[in-house]
Amino acid sequence: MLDNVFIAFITSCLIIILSHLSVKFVTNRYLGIISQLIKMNEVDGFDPVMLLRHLEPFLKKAGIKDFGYYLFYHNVEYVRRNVSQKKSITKFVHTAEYTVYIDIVPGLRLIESDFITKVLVEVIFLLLKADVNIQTTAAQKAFRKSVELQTFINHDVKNLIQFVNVLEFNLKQVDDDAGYRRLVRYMQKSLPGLKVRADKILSALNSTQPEMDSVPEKLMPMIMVTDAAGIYGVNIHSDTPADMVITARKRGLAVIIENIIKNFYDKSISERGISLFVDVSEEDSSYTMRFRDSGSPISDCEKIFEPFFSGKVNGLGIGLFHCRNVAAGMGGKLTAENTGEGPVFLLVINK
Amino acid sequence: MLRILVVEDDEAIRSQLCFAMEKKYDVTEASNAPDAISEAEKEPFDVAVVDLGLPPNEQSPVEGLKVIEILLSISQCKIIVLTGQSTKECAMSALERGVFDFLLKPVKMEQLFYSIERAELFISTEKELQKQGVEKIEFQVKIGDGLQKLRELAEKNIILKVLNDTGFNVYQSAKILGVKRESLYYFIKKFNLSRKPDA
Repeated sequence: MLDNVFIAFITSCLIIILSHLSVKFVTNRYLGIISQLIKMNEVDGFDPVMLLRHLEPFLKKAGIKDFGYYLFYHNVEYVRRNVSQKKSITKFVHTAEYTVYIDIVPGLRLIESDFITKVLVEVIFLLLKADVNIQTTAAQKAFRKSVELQTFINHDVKNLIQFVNVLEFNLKQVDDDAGYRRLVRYMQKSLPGLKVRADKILSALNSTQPEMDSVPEKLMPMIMVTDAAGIYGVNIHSDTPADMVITARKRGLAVIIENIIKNFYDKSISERGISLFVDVSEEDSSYTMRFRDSGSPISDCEKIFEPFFSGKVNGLGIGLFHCRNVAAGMGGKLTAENTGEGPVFLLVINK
Repeated sequence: MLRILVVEDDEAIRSQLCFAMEKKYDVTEASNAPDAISEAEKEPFDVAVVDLGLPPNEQSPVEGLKVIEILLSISQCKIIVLTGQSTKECAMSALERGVFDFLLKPVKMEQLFYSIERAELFISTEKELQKQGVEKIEFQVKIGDGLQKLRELAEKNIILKVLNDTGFNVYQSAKILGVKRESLYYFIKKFNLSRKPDA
């Protein structure tokens, strides 16, 4: 009697251990497949079409009998029909922008229960849905930004052509020496603004690249600040001597100075009477330019350097992003902070 | 001499426009909305050439439209929009506010001068009509809203104009309009008319 009880106990224990091991084995096998699937999706750049194309070997490995899908987004559709007559597990979502449908027929192996297949369907469905969302959002953002960039460049090019049209008219109208001299004076006045306009077009087109087209040279930064301020009629307060010399890339420095002064000018339109203080100091291994204004604080000192972030209506949001790239290209850094005396832009240029 | 205000943020274009116009007209320049408004408040202009994309929002017409609204509220200035913003919405917004002309950059200077000359002709004709006692009362209404609304708006504008001219003297206004005082009180109530704070 005792022997029988003992045998029954041992048998039960063996069954429990074997079941546990089997479940562990199956679970690990499926988890391995799922993690490979996730990794492959990442390698494929979160592309739902690539995910569907690479799905078959994974599902075969998981013992799936057959599968089907329907994917619609960006006005294109991808279909694979499930030809099996067996009962399948499906998952479906339909929105204004996309439709994702997945249909999987579980395998015959008993151990691979419906539950595990359901987990697999859920994972594939979520991966597809996330990929489609990533692709549609990225495409929408790219289209929007491309339109904004086009509008921005269009605006500046139209202004350049307008300038040429008026200049052409003026050249035809002038008929005496006094007139020519007056026109030359007006052109001298126009030139800095025109240069800034042309630089802006170039910056908009090359906003992701640092300015590399110049070599460091001896510059007088305060003179550059005064020149840029002159374009916008901005008064500069400074304790730095105008003839202070630093070594830096002229074009890059000019882009940063012009951008910060233009931002101050824009701010001064809504915050009348604010002042701009600019100073330059020299340390052992670097120069620091400090632009402080007496206006309201910066809402987010890091966010303003993000590409396409703009506080302006329909602003492109590449100015400060480009400036930070330019500063990095010069071996320096552009940062912003709010101090007790007002918001400050700090440009550190390595020697 | 015709007084012209040039509102353009692009320094290069602004200075060349001023150069082109200075021979024939009395030209004042402004590079942003507050400067334009402050110039117009000093002394009214006959014509204003206004760019819509002004700082700090060069890519949007908001600043230019603000200038247009204020210029038209304080003067009879003829506004010529000269802009690179070619969307239908921009043109509609400007025209709804009552601009005289809408020119898209880039334009030939001959086109701009033609528009200024037309504005000049309008101004002189309006002055002539004013001398003859004919005054223009402006109103804008969607035709789709029906004639009743159009008639009411015309009535309202005429009554408001007469009341303003007489310093809200109901007796005098009723006499000018040829209606009974009671009727005028009815219209004042109907249209919710009130004296301007500075009137």
